[in-house]
Amino acid sequence: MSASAHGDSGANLFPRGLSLFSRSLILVVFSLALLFLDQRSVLLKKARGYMTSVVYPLQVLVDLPKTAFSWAEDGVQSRSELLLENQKLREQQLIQNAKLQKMASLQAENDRIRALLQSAERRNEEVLIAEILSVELDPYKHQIVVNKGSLHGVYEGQPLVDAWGVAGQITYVSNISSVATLITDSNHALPVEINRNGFRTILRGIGQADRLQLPYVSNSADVRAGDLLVTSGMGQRFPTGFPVAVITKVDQPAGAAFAEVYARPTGHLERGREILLVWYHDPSAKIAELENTPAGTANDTPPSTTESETSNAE
Amino acid sequence: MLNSRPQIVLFLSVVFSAVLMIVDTPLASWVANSDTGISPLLRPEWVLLCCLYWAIYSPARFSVLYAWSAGILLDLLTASFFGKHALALTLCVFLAQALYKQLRAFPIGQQAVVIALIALVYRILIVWIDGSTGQLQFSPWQFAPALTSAVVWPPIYLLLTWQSGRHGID
Repeated sequence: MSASAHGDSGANLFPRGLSLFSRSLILVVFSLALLFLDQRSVLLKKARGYMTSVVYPLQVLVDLPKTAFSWAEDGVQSRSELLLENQKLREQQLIQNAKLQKMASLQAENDRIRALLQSAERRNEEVLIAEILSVELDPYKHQIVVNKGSLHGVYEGQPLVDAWGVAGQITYVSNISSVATLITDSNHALPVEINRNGFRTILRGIGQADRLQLPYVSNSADVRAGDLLVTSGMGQRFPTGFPVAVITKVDQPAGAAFAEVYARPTGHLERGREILLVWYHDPSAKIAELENTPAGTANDTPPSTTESETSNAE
Repeated sequence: MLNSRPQIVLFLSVVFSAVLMIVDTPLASWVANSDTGISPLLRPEWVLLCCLYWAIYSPARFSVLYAWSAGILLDLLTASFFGKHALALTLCVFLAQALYKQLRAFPIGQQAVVIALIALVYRILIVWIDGSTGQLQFSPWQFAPALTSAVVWPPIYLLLTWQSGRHGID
């Protein structure tokens, strides 16, 4: 669509004799209409998805030098370096597997306790590894392009995490790629709670790569520097319990209504190359499902078979 | 359609300039404003410059519609709202095409000054649209690309003139 318009000169598409001014005016009005529509309604989302798939190769092209460079870097590693790295990775994996086994038993115990208390079943998450393309979108917005799209089951609002914490959520989905907004973007906020005492609040991005703000903390709240903030699961966008940030500064000026609290994200955000997409099973859907089955059978079933495992869909 | 050499050159130059706009270079953000933490982008507006060149030197081939399409392409590549870059590019190319005869006659230094002004208009439009759609991270650095665009204009002019000569574009 836009490709064919590229080739047209103005005269072909507009009726003969339309002056420069008229043509410009029509295009400006049309652009304003598009802006209005794109911002206020979802009509253009699908069109955007398809058109983005068409221009995606350009983004891949821009990403190519970095990929080629790191591939070349890997290629020239000496054999002894590779053996050493291999050994380190094996040891790391051994330690992490051991921890994972403990987590599996903790999870089972947690589920049993919840069943005893007749609480909702613990949510389970699935993850998928995606790669961040080194493409600069808007320099003033913290958005990234990931190489998974609706074909891989990605949906709008899906949470992204990396190995160290929550990274953000998907905002645009196309067929084979998506755009995500990071938690540091000034238009992003998520509900968190302090790990130490369960205090719930909102964590907001302020457009800085290493600083987030907690804007609604009252002056007398029990908040300390060094506190770990984890997702609270409210709003049901992000799964519970993922680390998000560590509080760095707490200013409680006397007489002010709110404290000034800042935090540093734990995730490496766009500095990394890989990121994880999380499928978060909505607990309310699960509860509805449980309520529909005959009483007494639902609670006995073990947690759903989807464990937190990584699956690489390439 | 793309059935002649000049049109291919035009098309490729626009696409290439769009690609330049999304290259992730640490160089482009080396000046960090430590107060706000925003690292300003001094990247010249490649697509604008490319469109302005063709609008001034090949107005028969390069119309505002072409500029509008380039704007839509840029919107897609940068995940902006549809119409944001399209509107800004259309208006700036309109300005250039309205004045193209005079602009052709200017020496390159004077041209660069006019380009700086048009680029400033472009940035103002972009910042304005961002502001009205709630996407604004305001900083005076948002207008700096106007200057760097003007600085980059002479090489762009030379490059595209050279290509025009090679491929027989008027």
